[in-house]
Amino acid sequence: MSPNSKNYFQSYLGIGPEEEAEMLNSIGYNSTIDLFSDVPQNLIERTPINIDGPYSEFELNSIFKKISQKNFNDHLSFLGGGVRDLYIPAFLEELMRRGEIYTAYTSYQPEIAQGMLQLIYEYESQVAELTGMDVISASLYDWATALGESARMMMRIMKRRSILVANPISPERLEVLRTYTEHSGFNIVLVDGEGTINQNDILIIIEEDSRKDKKEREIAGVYFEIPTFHGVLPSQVDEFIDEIHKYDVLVTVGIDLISLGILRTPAEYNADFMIGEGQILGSGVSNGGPLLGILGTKYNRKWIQNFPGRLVGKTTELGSDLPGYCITLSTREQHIRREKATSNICSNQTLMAVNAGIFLAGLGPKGIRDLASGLVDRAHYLAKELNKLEGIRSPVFEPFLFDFVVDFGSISHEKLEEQCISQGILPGLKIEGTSCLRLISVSDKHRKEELDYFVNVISEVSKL
Amino acid sequence: MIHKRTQAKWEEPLILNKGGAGRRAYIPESVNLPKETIPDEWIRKSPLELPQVSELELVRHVVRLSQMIHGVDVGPYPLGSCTMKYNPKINERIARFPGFADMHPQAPEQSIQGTLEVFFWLQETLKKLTGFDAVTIQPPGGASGEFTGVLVIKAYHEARNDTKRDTIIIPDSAHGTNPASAAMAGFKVIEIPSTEDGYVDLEALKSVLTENIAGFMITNPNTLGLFEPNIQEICKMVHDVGGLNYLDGANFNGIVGVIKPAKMGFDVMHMNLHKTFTGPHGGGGPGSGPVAVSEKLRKYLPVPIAAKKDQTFYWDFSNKKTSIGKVHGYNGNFGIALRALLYILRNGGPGLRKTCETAVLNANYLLHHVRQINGLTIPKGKNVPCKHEFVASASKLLKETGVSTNDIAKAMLDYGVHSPTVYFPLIIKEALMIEPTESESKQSLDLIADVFKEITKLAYSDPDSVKNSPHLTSTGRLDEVTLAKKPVLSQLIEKKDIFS
Repeated sequence: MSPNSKNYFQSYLGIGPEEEAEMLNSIGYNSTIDLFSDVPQNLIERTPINIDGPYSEFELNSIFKKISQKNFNDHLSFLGGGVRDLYIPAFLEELMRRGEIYTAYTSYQPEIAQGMLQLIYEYESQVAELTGMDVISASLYDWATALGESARMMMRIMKRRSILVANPISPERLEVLRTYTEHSGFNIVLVDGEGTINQNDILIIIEEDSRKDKKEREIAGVYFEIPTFHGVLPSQVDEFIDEIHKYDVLVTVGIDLISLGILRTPAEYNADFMIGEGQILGSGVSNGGPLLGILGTKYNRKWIQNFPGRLVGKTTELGSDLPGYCITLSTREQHIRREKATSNICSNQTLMAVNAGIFLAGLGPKGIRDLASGLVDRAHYLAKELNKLEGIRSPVFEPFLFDFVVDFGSISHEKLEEQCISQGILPGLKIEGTSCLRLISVSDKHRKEELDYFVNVISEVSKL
Repeated sequence: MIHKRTQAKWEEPLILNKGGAGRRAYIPESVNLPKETIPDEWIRKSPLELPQVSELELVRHVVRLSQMIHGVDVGPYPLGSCTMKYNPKINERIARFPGFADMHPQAPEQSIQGTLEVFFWLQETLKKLTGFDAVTIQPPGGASGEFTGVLVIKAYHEARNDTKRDTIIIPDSAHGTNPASAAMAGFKVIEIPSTEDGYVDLEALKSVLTENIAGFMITNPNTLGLFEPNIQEICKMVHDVGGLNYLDGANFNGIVGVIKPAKMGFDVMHMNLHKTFTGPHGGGGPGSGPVAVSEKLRKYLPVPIAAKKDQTFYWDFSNKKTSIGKVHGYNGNFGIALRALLYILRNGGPGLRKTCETAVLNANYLLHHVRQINGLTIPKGKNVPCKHEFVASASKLLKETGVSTNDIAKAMLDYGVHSPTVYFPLIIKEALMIEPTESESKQSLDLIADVFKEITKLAYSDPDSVKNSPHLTSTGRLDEVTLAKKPVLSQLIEKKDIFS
């Protein structure tokens, strides 16, 4: 049988061949290709385009099972840096397979989408509860693009053209931030720190800028992460943010949502905007996507007018007291404001937001505290055990929370990776530096035995 | 009378207001290790009032809410421009294979050969379907693809020191994302009017074509569902002044497998994998917006791109210096890219062609029936077949009965049919943009037509019943005006009582 005679695709078509003829006939056409009579005929392909397929469902299942097995997902992974491979409870996976949920689109008709809208409102409300921020976007693509959007928003609000960014920051997030800003004439100024935020230099730069004429001022906002990309909890953040605010400059802070089970919230230390990665709230790392960009702020009408992306709010049914939910403040968005919109975003990561909301509800206050402190315990145990090995410095920076930088010494990254992979381990993220620095991230999938195994493997590798 | 459908009406409280102290749906894995402390200055002081619910309570809550959502799996969803086609279930199964769902994006290349193979296979396949030379899968949505595409155009001109090109031309029928993306990339936007027939006005285009033009962005088939007959001439006109042509691939379902977009004269296009290639719409996303370009634009695409040498796949960073930079923290929405590849392979070339032809047939069949309905008109595309969608207007009905497009949209919900896209494109008054897709059966198309017929008939006999609809959905119309004035955007705002 030639490939072309396989019609496995018929499964996805609403009408059969006989019906097709009948329908064509009823509207006065002989064949489906006649429906393209208005198209310049030189553009029409005479034969089907030569791509792979059609495959049967069984074939697809077999082929892709094999492809998926080429990935080393069963390796013991210490990779993080923004996303984290955490255990996903079965009820969550089961609920997310509801066709009503994943085959719907944006709730343009709220009357027939109350379930979706309530799930989104519950997501917004729980992230608000966790972070102390009143308004939560629903949603942006990922942490990196949330940073790009937040930077643009701070510059829109302040009508200035520069953002200060505390390094260490993940190189990927920084690169996306640059794409979102520098092509359109905005500036990103990187302020280097040793593992943590260089508060001093940031304040000096802001102070200098503040002495300019109001119209000449450049710095709209500061961005830093808690913990930093190198895992460090900075000190005296409240005072730092107060100082920044004195100069009339805004602050966006990047946070680890799970850390807020135990850490002070961005609202407590008075950050203006908060961003983070929502994948860690119950989605797989999935090769880097789909993820979930989280953006939050305190209620401020002017800021909210400048907010990117969809917002769902709570109201009532007309003529009754029954609660109802719908998309609101759409006049900020591209379909209404067009080139004056606060962002171009349309399709976003709503399904991941719904997922995150259900995950948080499942965890509850005790669950998220347990999850966060369990990660702290694992990370600190592992850091101490690694530090006992000769030639290894762990952690390089302190105080740290879940993630930490380890100096593996003179061994090359390639050799370390090769040796670890052969022992079933993915040994964290490579960090730029003069020696073999790597960012080690833990997961709730790590039991003590697994952490000990990693330490044993490293002790062997470091002797080589 | 057509049978109506009552949607579930659960009075389901917010999950935050359910449950009781000590209930726990999910208890994370504990670990037998010494307890560590964090610095005192960092200990959380705010209360943390997340829900405390049992696993069953949570499951029941979400299942009940799901019964108050209309999805493609529930009923017809002719939401124009969104291509609400069936989402194959095999794709959902395969996307959850552990090798795909649990793999970290930054693992060394040797450990992600499966991931790289999926990206590579999709890139190669999209090149063949579009006729372009290079593809990036990185943009995580259609608008992100547009942003990427216009930045590529910008980089191309800048590399040639052609720096005065600061303007993008966009027809007035375009999606709002087009001008928004161009503006985000730092371009000025010139909007040109359409002709009486709904096509690009060549004279209007000519009058704005100068050496300041960086590019022209168009959707084809356009947002009226019509194929631009002069597209080749249009692309040539733009090229003649040194501009580049951008195709918004939102409507790719109307030509996929039948026409290769590059042949029309385009230099760059984005696709919406969640539309044409069945990524589930997820209540608003995730999408995926790959960008395809001609050879001369390859070096400006975001990096890395999946590549293959001998039998080994790797990430190709070779264009890092010329690239516009990354538009996503990692490599885009892999999960949606994978589903798109699965759908394309299930179809093959013959299947995609059949898919496109069937989508166009279904749209024309429905158009044929809607055209005959009293009160509705089809303002554009009088003598040509539409492609995958068409736009009706309820102007006449509004004038004669006071029943608007919005009222029709609401009334449709009572029949278990989602409304079309309304009030878009902006150039059609009281617009209803209707896209049935190839997934719908003849009975389903007949139902949609009959629903329009019954509602418009009712508009003439009992307009108030239409204006007060819907009646059978889980809620009636909502007070959106008060919400916009006092935006209650979370329970925290309710608790703080900000608006009193």
